[in-house]
Amino acid sequence: MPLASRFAAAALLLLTAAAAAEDGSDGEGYRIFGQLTTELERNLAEDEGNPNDVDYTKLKQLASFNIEWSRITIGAQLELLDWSEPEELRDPLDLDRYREGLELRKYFIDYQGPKLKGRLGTFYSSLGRGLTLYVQKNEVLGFDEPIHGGTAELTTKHLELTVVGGEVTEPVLSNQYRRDFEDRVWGGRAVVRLPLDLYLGGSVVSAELERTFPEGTDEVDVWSLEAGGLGLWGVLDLAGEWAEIEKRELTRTRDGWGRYASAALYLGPVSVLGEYKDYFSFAYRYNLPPNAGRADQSYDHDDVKGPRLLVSADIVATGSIVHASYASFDSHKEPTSPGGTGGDAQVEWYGGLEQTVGPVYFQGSYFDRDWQDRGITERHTIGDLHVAVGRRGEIILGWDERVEEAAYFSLGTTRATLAYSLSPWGTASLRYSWEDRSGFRREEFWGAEVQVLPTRRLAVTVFGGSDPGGLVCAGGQCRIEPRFKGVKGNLTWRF
Amino acid sequence: MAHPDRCSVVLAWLVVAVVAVVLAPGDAQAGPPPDFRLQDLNGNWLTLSEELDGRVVYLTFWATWCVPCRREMPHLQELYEELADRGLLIIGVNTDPPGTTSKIKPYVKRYGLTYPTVLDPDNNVLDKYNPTRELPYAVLVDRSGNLRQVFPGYRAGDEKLLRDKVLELLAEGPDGSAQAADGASG
Repeated sequence: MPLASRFAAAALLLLTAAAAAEDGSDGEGYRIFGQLTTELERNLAEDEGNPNDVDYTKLKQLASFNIEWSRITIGAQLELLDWSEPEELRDPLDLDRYREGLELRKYFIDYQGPKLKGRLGTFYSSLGRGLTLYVQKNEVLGFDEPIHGGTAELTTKHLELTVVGGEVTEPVLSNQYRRDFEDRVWGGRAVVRLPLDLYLGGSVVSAELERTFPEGTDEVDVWSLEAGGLGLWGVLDLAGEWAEIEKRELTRTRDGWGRYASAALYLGPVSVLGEYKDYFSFAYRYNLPPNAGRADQSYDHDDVKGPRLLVSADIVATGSIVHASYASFDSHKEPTSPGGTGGDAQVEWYGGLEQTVGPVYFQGSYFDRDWQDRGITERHTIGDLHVAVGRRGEIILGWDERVEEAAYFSLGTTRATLAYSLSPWGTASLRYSWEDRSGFRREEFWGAEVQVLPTRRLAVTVFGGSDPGGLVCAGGQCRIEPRFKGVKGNLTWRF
Repeated sequence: MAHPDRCSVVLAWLVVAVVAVVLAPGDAQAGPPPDFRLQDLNGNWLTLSEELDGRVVYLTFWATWCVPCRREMPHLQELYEELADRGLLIIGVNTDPPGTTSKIKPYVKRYGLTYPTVLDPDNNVLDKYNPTRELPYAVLVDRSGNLRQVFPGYRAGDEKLLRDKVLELLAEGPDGSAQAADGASG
């Protein structure tokens, strides 16, 4: 949406809100709230012999305002990005890299009724379990491109109806190609609640996706049917979704499918979750189906199939919580497939333990994934030891190690952290990391961070030093974070 | 995209800050929290405004991948078991993406949580409460339905401060007056 239109829309919304608030008796009944955030980064060059590796400063400011009055909320978010260096010299992995100046990032009017809710402006949306539509912000990964359009949801005792439509910008491609990929998505979902805690539903989505090259749009149609039951006999949850997709590109049309099923059984302190996924040619820019794996690992959803079993238990008598998972996935490739591979088998398992003994808390987990056809093994070890000091203090020792090994190559990134936190005032931490490439090239990184909360509405964070970056995952999505060397500060004020 | 000079930007930000300071109420008169209607783990709808009902409500946003959230949960369950009869309601708002929905109930069972958990997979509710979305993030609502305190993040020992604040609010009547018979010493 053009910048002027965004500002006009926001001004109209805020004026409406102001008029509505003015109409309220002595200010009662409405509430103004929001956040102001300022981030300042001084990036220092690491390779002085490289003319493209230069020092630069990045200033990012966000102001979010919301006015809530009766059932209506009106909001806007302004962003200001100021860089000391031209776009081409900034870190290519920084998703903010190609934006600059003042921009109205978000604006909305939201109605929340007993049965009907709706929103015009910017919003995030997903349908079902994300097989047909998934457009979300991910703060950890830095994805923050909402849909600009409208959505409405009607719910009655037995029926839920959702419609959604608008424009959305894909963040990673836009950064990579330095232009906005403005796509259009629209669709809907209906779910009927049946007797015996069962449900039946489905969703349909169409999308027009801007091509990378040549200019033009590709089209996607995807639909799904879903069914299941929640709290069956008080101990069982069942869910299943069956989807088909058609992708019409410049020179070809591809069909694919997505199938997902899960069953969860609760037996006192023990929970058992079984999942099965089967996705073929199923990925498009705006879907993210269940990965049947861990939130802090990366998963493909274009060509993969297989089951996973997760068992967790709260061993009440010892204060321990244990969990373990085993999964076996493969692709649909056959020995006769183009490329000549016989599949992409992967076996993964992990186990974890949480234990509290008096003032000491420990949590640790080990993840192992063997890509059998690729000849690659991944391991991820996490350990945190917390020791209470006094009434409100705590010392934390943390360990996070990711290793990827192939026949002639290995890459390991390890972070060790020592921190002290004092409630409610904040945390100070020291971080030592190292990156090891095949045992012969080792780089070390040191960093220190202090977070202070002078009040509950104000937070100040300062980091100085270096960090290797690497794979960062949250909510099942992952991306490579840029390395960093320098100083950065963040100030957030909530009002 | 527009690229104003730095002086204008600083001025604009100052205006924004002053407007926010002038218009935003302080902690004690913060008004009602943004209302929402979300589904719980069994598919039932929960509307916040209907749950307030003269109770003190602690609304906490969390995700399965958030370690501090995991540390806080047993303390919240303990507090809920102790004070639910006196008028405390804790509502957990899970913000995991929709693809992980099947994992959330086993997770809640693993920690033995008995207070209600609702799902905000699109994070549109979280966005209203905390646009920068760090987790955990919680707010405390008094018996009159006014948002009284925010709790960004969790550090060991925060649960003691929370308990003190909850007891203070439980001792207040719906109009903010002290309730003598409530025995708020805890």
